[in-house]
Amino acid sequence: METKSEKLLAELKKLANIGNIEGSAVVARNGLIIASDLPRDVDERRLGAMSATMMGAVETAAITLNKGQIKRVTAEIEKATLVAMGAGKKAILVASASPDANIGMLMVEMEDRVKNIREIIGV
Amino acid sequence: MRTGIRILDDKIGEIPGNVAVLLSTSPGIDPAPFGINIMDAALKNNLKCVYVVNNKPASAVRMEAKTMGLDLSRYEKNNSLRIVDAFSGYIGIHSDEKYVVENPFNPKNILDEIEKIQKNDILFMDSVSSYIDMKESPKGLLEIIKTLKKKMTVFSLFSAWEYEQKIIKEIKTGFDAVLVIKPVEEVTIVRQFLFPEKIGWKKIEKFAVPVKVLKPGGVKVYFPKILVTGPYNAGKSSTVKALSTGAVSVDRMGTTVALDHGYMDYKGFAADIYGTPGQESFDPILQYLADEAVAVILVVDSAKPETFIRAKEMLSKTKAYGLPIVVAANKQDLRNALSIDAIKKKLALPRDVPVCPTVAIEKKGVEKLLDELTERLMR
Repeated sequence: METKSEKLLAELKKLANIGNIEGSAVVARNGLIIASDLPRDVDERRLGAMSATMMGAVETAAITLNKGQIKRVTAEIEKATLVAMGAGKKAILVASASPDANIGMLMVEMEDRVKNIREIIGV
Repeated sequence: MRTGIRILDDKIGEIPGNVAVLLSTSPGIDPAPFGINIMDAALKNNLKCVYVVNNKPASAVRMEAKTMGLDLSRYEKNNSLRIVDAFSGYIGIHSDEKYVVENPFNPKNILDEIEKIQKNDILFMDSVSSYIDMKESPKGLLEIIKTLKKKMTVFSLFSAWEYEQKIIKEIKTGFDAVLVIKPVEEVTIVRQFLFPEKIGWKKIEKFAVPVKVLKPGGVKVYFPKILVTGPYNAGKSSTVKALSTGAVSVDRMGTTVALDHGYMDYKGFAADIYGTPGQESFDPILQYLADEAVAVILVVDSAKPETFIRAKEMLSKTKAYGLPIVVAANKQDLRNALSIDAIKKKLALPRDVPVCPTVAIEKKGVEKLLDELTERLMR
């Protein structure tokens, strides 16, 4: 039987098949890495910690604004676009794509993966 | 000899000569890095080792060691390590290795090749699983281990694939000690633990050692999150930096606004360190940063007792009570710094919480702090 980690990795691998996505990870909202499919030179533990902090900070800002839930956080970086979205109560899906990526396509794919990830994690 | 894996060594003590130890891992966890790490510890203690490999080329063992940051070549050069190739013969290819078992299908040949090597203290067999796959029974291998352990300590590596229970039982019975490494699913993440299932030479209580193979770094007792928290401007970022082999900080004008993140590597222990901001406006994200921490370092400014109430508030906000806590009484170099006793009194934390004097920017007192921390993580 496949373990949770293997199932999550399979979801990330599906993302990797989409053009322009260079790496992705399922990160606990507390920053710890649950599963990752990132380039070798990326420090996954640090990316996990920072993604969770980013998400937590934006969530707090959203609550402060009193404008409802966050859908996703997108960071436009010189050589990448970093997208993070909630995947259930406990996790976040983070993906890094090249700056010229089709963001719409990326979102649709990530939302599909999020559905499965939520099911696998169970909350 | 000792395994070089902290906590395990502290609990099981010296491994006597003439015993056979099985290192058994769940599918998906490669036992080789554990074997290589134990071997490296033995080699560093001037013990002579033989590594018999039947499931990959000998060069793959050297490569694996290299990714772990361990260099085996100097031990091979001075003949304290010999790698015996029992793989090439198995798949029928030529081998350029110095020690080769031409026909590993007959366990007697493996025994002969090992016995040719005159002086040897410890033997590593990688792996029992491949032998069973080849012969369908561990019998022959168990017999040669029985013969060999009269002269040396034997470590056998075993990936516990879905074999019949009968076979697994037969294997385990053939060993004086069984160390099992398996994944444990926690709240969100999966961690690896080492459990001593059987220690033949010593009566021990059940315990588990959290382990991780770091590349580079090797096998470490690993904690995924140690929290550094404390009031604004107490020196948390400096403490994270002083504790870490590598650290980054997200700061604006010298104050942390998101998270300090570092890696600790100390006397066989490794951990990821999360340093929280201290300002109250960042309190909402504390819950994310603190969740699933295994220990807390509380940093206080020794010259600002008025911030101690905030320090205690942060302990409760990060749900630190119940976890091992150590206090860094920082900025001890300031002229108006309070004494450790005075700080203890004013903080009024449980009695077993140690308060260590530090000057984080000069890395002073950090070792003592780490000793206190690791000592508590071992309990």
